Amino acid sequence: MAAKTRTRSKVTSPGQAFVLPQLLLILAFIFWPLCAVLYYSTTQYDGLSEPINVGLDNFIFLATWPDFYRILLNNLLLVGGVVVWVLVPFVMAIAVFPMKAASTIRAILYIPAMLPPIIVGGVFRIVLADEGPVNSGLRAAGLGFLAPGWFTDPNFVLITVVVVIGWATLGSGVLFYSTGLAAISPSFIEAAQLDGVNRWQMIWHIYRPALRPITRFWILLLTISTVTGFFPWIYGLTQGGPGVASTTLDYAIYATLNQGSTLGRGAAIAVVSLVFIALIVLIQAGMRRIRKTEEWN
Amino acid sequence: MTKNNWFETAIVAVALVVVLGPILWVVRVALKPTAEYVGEPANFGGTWTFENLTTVWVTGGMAQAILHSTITVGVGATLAVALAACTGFALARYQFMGHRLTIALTTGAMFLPAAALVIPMFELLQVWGMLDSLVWLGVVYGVMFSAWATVFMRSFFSQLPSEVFEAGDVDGAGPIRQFFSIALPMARPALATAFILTCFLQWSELLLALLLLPSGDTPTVAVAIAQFSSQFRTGGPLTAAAMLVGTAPVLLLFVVGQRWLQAGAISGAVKD
Repeated sequence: MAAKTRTRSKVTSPGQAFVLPQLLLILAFIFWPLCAVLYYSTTQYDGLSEPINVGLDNFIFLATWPDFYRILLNNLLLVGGVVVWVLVPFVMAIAVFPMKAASTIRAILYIPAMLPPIIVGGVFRIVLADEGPVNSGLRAAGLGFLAPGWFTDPNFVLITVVVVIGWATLGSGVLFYSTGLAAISPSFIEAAQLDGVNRWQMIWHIYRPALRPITRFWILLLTISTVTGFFPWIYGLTQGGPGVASTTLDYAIYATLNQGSTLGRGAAIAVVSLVFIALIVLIQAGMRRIRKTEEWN
Repeated sequence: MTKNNWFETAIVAVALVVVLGPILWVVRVALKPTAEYVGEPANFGGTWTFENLTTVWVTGGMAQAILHSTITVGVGATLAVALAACTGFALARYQFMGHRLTIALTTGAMFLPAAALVIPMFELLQVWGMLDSLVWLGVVYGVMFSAWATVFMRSFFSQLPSEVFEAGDVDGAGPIRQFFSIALPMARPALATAFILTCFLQWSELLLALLLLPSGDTPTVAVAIAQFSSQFRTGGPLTAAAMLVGTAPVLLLFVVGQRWLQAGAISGAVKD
């Protein structure tokens, strides 16, 4: 903090030499591609011949492509899944925290977080296969009507994705919330208990506000990764199917590129996903500002 | 919280079963002859064999895939942490022209999806003859993942008391000396945490590995497992065995590195 007082805003500074390598590499490998993608989204481009400018044709195509609405809807519904991915670790962290074996339990819950997403997908393709242990178990228990087509039912497949990603992120969420819980003063909680506060009041009036910074961070991380980081999960679990029932924006870009010559269209989907991320960041910043003003009043 | 905690016990018990069940199941499947699995995919019992593990290791190419991933991730994680340490140090220690720009660019890069950038990235590597190269894939990884590592290292360096560097100034240590002799040794736990987490993220990365190694001759572990599971879409013992073998190095990394990986180190980034 105090370290930055002395050399305030000098035109040349050793600091610049330290940041230069990273800035150059980021400009070359990230921001130049970003500009190129914006350009390609307005062209017809097959990767071999020169791109031909077609204005907004790619976006008009997307707007008239019924599958694309399903893909956007999938992304929106997965953002809704964040509620599950936040609530479950929140409750779990509070339940585990006072236990004697808390650190062992947290370590076990963290195991899925150490598995690469493609492997998580593979695990659940085996466990949730139609003849696999879960569905067979349900049938054996006479609950066969509850056994869903985890990967084959277009109306159910997103629930499968939400459940599996919930499984994979639970441990990290519990870990984050536990560091927050450890920071709450025990006397605070004892005082509340002396006042006869029940469990739900405790969660609502003490844990929820005290853990708000962590919730905010965790929500941002998860919502952003619905757009930026879901590719390997979707690839491993469903390959976007059945049809496009579980295709997300990043998977759609991959699928378009894999088909070959319609790179301009892929770039247009990329631009849409960038807009999607910008909206998420803006909405979150906006909600934060609203809450701040509320607290002032 | 002392009395009446059957509810907590119950949900924690359910969570443990739900978390461990699928993992144990897949380990079991990996150790089962394929013919037996195909007949009865829901049966936990039966023969136990290590044959699948040797098959994926020797003929399935998992040994090479692990080597490929190690090269890429070794380059990538080292580069990411080196860049992040330099930038994080400079941002925390100095105020300079371009300070805010640096923060904006590194933070912005964190939010950009690889999928959106991959077409021009492919062309960039193609023009320079860097496609299909594990080392250059590592460089791309290093740059991509340096963004979050920078945010992390900066928050670590700004928690260091400024007195340690002022003492360096008094003793006549220049910026480079201060970086190598004061900042880096103090940052060892943070550097280790950043390195381990970057290794994990890069080991798991799939999209760039699929598209920037187009020949498929040098698959990383993630690509190899993706190939396995596309080949056997229902997931048989061989896929399970490949997953087991492919995860082992990451698990090893976490086990070896866990004494540096403190949740507290991560929570530095969470402060409001």
